[in-house]
Amino acid sequence: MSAKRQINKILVANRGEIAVRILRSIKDMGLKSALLFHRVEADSPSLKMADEIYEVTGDTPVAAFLDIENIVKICRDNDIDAVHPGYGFLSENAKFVEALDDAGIQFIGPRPEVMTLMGDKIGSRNFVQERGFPVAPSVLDNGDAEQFIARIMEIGFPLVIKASAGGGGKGMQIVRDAKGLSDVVATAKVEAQRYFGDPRIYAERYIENPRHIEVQVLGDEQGNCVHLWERECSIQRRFQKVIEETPSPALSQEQRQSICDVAVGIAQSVNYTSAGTIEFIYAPDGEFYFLEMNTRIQVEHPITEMVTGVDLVAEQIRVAMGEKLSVAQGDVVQRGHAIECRICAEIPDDDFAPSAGKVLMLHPPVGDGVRFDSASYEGQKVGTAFDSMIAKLVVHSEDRDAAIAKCLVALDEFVLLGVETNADYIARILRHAAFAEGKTDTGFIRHHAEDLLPLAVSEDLKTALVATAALSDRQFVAMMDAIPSPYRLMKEWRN
Amino acid sequence: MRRIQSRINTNSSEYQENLKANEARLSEFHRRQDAARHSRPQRDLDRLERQGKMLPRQRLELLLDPGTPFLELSSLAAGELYDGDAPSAGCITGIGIVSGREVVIHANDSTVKGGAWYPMTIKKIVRAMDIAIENRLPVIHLCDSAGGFLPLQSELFGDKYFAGRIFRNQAILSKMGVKQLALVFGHCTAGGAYVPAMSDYNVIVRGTGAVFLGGPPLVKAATGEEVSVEDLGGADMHTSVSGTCDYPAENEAEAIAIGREIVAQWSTPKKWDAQQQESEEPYYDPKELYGIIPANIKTQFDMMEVIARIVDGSRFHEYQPNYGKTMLCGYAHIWGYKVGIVANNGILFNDSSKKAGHFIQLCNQNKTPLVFLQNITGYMVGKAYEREGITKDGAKMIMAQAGVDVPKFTVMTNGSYGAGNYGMCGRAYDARFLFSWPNSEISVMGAEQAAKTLTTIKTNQLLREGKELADDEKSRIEEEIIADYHHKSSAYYTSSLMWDDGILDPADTRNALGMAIATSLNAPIDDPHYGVFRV
Amino acid sequence: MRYTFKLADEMVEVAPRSLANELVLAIGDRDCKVIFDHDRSGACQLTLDGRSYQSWVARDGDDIFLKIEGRYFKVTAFDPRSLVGAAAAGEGSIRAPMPGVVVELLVAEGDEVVAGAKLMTIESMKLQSTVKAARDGIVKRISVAAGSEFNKDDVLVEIDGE
Repeated sequence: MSAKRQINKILVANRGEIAVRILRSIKDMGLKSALLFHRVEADSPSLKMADEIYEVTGDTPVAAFLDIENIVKICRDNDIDAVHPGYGFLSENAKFVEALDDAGIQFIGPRPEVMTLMGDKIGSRNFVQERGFPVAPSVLDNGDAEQFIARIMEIGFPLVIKASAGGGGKGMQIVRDAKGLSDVVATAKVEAQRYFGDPRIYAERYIENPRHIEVQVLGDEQGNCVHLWERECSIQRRFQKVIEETPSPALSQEQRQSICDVAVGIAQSVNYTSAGTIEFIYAPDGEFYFLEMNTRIQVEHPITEMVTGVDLVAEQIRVAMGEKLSVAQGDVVQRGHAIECRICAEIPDDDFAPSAGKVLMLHPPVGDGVRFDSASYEGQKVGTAFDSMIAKLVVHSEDRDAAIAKCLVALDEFVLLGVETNADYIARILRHAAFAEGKTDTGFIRHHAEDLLPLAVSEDLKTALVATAALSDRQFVAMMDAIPSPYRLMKEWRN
Repeated sequence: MRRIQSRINTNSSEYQENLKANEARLSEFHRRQDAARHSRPQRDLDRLERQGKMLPRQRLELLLDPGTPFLELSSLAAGELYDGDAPSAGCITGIGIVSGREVVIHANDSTVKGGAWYPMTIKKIVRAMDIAIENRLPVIHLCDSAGGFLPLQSELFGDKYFAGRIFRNQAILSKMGVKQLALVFGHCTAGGAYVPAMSDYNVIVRGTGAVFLGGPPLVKAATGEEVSVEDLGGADMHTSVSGTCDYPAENEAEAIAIGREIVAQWSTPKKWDAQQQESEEPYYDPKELYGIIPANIKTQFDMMEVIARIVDGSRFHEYQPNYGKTMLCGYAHIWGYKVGIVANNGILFNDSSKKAGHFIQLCNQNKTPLVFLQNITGYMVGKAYEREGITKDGAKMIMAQAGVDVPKFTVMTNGSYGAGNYGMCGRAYDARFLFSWPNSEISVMGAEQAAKTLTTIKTNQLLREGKELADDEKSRIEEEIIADYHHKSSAYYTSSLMWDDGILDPADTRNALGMAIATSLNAPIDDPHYGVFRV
Repeated sequence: MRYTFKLADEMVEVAPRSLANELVLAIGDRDCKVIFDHDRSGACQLTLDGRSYQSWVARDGDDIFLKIEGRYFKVTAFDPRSLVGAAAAGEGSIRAPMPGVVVELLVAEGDEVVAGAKLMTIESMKLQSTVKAARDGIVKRISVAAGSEFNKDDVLVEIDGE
């Protein structure tokens, strides 16, 4: 049992949509808020949501948000009691948590030792395996290449070689047979060193066509730990999630219960506090393996909120205050179906290359069961300073079909002009028959690449859009308006 | 205004006969015009392509506002001169709409002897600039000319209306506050160099455009200096060193785009507030003119039927319907603009002359522009008419017509002979625009009359020399004279000499007049003041 | 004059054919009767030969962004001037626009610069101005040093381009 802690003012050490999301819960709880900003986003209207704002600087905009010393100083100088890190940036940085601890500032998230343990791919994997939870067969490189390869052979193919310190798909290599295995191992080590400053690698059974299923958990300092059911995030490109949904169309009720129980078990085994996510690889045969744990609020947390009605950020703050979770496991019911689409500034038809530009028009979709989490605004310059996500469109409806339909309506209603986004592309996925049937796996985008190409533009549509463009073009219209009256009637007469 | 009731029966043999004759005339006209516009030696077209230049008409189409008309002037100028070596007199002139402003366009045609100026070229350019002066229209020069055509220099240099007049007119336009823009696509050598230099604005195309008083060969001959075209008068030199040119352009399309943008900066002049109403298409099809214009020039036709196929709604307010009936006078609208129409419906008698003189004064006082539709064999001759004062009455009509301050427009619909040409605002009377139909003829008297007179003179001359002509010889001479006479009074011949502003397909008359009237209103109309009428 | 609009890699010419009571636009090879209406919010309604299209339109310079029939497009009003004019490489040698003194060098030899990059500050007639690169490239030679005087048309910097 821990003592209640007084939290009056919370700093949101993040930006963009998640900052807006967190500020909303802080406001709802009647607390004071502070927000960091970098000058590239100084004109963002989201800054107005916070009671106080503090500029951060650095070599790059991202670096500014990673400057632990400066952020701790801002907290100290401005009577900040707690820091919510959001996701990304310092959200899984134990050093940051320790620095805050030293300054007597509460970090809204798990304890640093849990973060360290679960943040280590191999460490967490071993920890979970030792406690009897399912993990994919794997071997760790102990430095002896020959022995490592021999042990790899025992796992069988296909397998995947990963960097121990890696993430986000970087430094991953899928190996389908023994040919050239030693070269792959050698290269993987070099890359691991280059990308992550740590040459350690490991090999793991590679599951073909797996689904990505994760379970949201919440724990408090009183030892309560609940799950908030699963999320399926199989629709991915470049190892980044694009569409997430809950419940997963793949799970039977028993499977669901079993995977969620495993997740709670894992969380409890580390005495997890705050919100966390346990990610699993779900094989087509129904087997599932622990993948990793994310010790932070996830991008896709809103779908869980939509189906359970639980404000995850509020729960995190409550736990940080030393309070009990507001919900018991029995209270957490999955109601209906929720889908989230990540609307990103990218060009899906050019291998998801990032796009840039100025947001000229932004019409968020509205309506019952539609949630639009975004910090974008008209006039915003979208560049490469931060990640490419512009907004999260979340819908909630009674069942999966209705949710897909609602999502398509919302996408149709949503307008964002000036920056190319994947909105069209998402609609194409949602309309795909395989998606409708729930046949989703992490290879979905790759397998259906051809189906997901844009439809050819019909001559009629081309004509209509060129006409619309011409009649919206200031110069063209001015030219037409300037033509004196008799000449309009004479048209292109030539003698 | 009441609609004219046409009495034309399109099924009549007369109508069909006229139609056949006029269709033949029209196809001949279009054949000649197409040849003048497009038929060029392949090597000249190849040269243009090599230089990366557009054809002059391509430039023109890019320059004009889309969806707007272009009134081309004198497309058959020089058609019967120089062995046909200078089609359209080697340049295009006309009135078009650029960035919403009515402008005169003068475009050199470098597919004709490198755009060299023939005597007729100069006449055509000077005329275009006179139109600009009279109607206060800005001018856009599309320059691509080798300069004066040296073999004919004695016919184009030194006189009042020869080459110097072009630059004089440029100066006068500028003085009047009428803007000019030159787009330099090719070389502007010698006199031609002054066209861009004397324009308010100019744009020069890098690589192909050049402006200099003497080109590199002339410089070499004169001073021994060896210099490249670019260094001597290229775009970069003139836009960055000499300041002779204002804007460099990377290519012709860019030059035109810059030019359009320049014109868009110009103030739009307030037009003379003529009585204007919403325009209405003629009730009767203008193409029916082809069945009305007679196959034989000597055949009489009702000009009311012509008016019905030119004016708005075929509506006409006739003045003095019962007096001087060989003269049709009255008000109508063309493309919404109120005009007074003076049209021949027979020989000019004393009453018809006085009626016309009176109506012209009414229009002048009312500041209503005048349209003259000529089909006139002349003022009536004979003892009775002279005693009645036909000369005096004709003089009154000429005095009234010549002295008006309103803009005048003339169409040669058929015959135009003798003093009738004067009274009905022939070329000498400063019509703002004068157009001919392909069937029309102009001469001091009818061809047969003239041939008879000439044959008589010739016979008498031979008689004095003691020679007598056989009858068949006599008729051969007469036929020769008639043929030559017809040729020289034909629209093609007179238009070649630029006695008009071009030959029109009769069905195009309404549009041509509409543009002419609309542009003429850019100039203010003076208050009426007249000379002395011999009453 | 034809107005050209660029859609993906395709150029489409548009010209009004009739501005009379009904608007007729020639779009490519096709003449279309057009009724167009839009409000300040950017919502547009186009009727093209009797068929109706709803769209959202926003402009940024020559770029016109549209959402039409649920799909996004970008159309660029094509200015013939952008063809070559803007892209033409500037001079590699940068000459002094007037006599003056070098106040400060902002690049060193071997530096990579882009067109428009500031190369040095110069002062002339009590007025300081910046000398900028006219094209992308590598600074090959700097002929002056801070404090050195120069005359009009002296080469200050040479930039090697491709």
